[in-house]
Amino acid sequence: MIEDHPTKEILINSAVDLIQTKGWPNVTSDLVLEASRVSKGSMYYHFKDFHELIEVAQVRIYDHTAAETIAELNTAFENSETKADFFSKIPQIMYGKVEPQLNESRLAQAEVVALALASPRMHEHVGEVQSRINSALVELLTRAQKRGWANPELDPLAMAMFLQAYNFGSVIDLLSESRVEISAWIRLVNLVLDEVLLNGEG
Amino acid sequence: MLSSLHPTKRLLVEATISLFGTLGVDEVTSDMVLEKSKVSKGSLYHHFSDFSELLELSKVYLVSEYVNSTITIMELLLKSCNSRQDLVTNLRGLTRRTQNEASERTRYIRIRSLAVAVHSPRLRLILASEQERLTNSFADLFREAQERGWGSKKVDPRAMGIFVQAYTIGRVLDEFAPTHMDEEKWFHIVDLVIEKVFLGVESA
Repeated sequence: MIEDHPTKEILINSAVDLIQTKGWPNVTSDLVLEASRVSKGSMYYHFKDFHELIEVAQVRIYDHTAAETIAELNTAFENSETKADFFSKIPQIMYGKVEPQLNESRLAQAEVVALALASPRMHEHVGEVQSRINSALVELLTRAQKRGWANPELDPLAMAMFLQAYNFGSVIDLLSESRVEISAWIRLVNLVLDEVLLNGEG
Repeated sequence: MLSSLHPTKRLLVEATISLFGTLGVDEVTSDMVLEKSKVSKGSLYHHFSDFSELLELSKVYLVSEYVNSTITIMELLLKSCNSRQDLVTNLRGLTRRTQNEASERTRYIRIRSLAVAVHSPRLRLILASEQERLTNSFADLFREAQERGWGSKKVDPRAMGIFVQAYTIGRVLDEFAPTHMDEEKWFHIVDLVIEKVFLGVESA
């Protein structure tokens, strides 16, 4: 995580808190200024406009959510004696969080990606975060391949993208009239991991 | 469905969708839509509170069109197969057509309509019913494949439907980082998932 100028950080952190409690459409510049106790002049010194602050805060949330998951995966990897042991910890990390919280963060991620597709500035911010996420996952998958816990025939970057892709894309289920049963989803994901991605024999 | 809209609304949405086909979704202006649809400005603002509402609705219906064409393609594909090997071959072809970089426009529109729906209850309802239709079609086709002995009985048809759409949409994440994956390596993973997991083929 790159730490910015202290005042800038205070503004970003206040915006992050407000977005997480109120949802971004309800966060106004007055609310951020009040919560952060930073002056208006200072805010416009650090950000071109209020919209930019909101964008940076949204990307920060995206970054934190991914970093947290990857850290948990790394810890599980380090603390596992066998592949089966590691494997059994994955569903808890990916789907163990309480439902509303998990769903909110998936919807927020979809919004950030949608915004980044329309705004070059946001695209760049997301690109920096996405590079870090990709390298961290590639590193973990490469180590897993060396231990014989991941498919040695697959490209680590393509695997990293595939893992993120189905997790990210499963947000469509939240926006459907009816939902897939979580147990059926986990069974399918486990098959994909077992037969393809984490198939140590290839 | 588009046919359930008020006729004038439908003209406006159809004109907008057809402009999306030649221009980027962000390049379409209200003047262009008025000219193409031959609807008056007054009429546009009678049916929509602002132009962005028309744009949003049009994106959702564009997703609908995508849903219809995907369902048709999948139905024809399954019908034309006489063996599991046929299905494997046809699906490999389909993966290369739907998962390549060139289909990014469809991915963009699907993601942007999802994001719009998060904060718009009305669009969310429309999108949810279109989403439901697409997922159900995937599930039905997969059930048919299971009945013909080609689909793995271990896989829940609805979960399969969501999973396929999820990685197709989620491939967008590769666009952001400066280093992109090799497309062939991605196709290889998708092939393995379809063949080893969905179709339960022992050695791919």
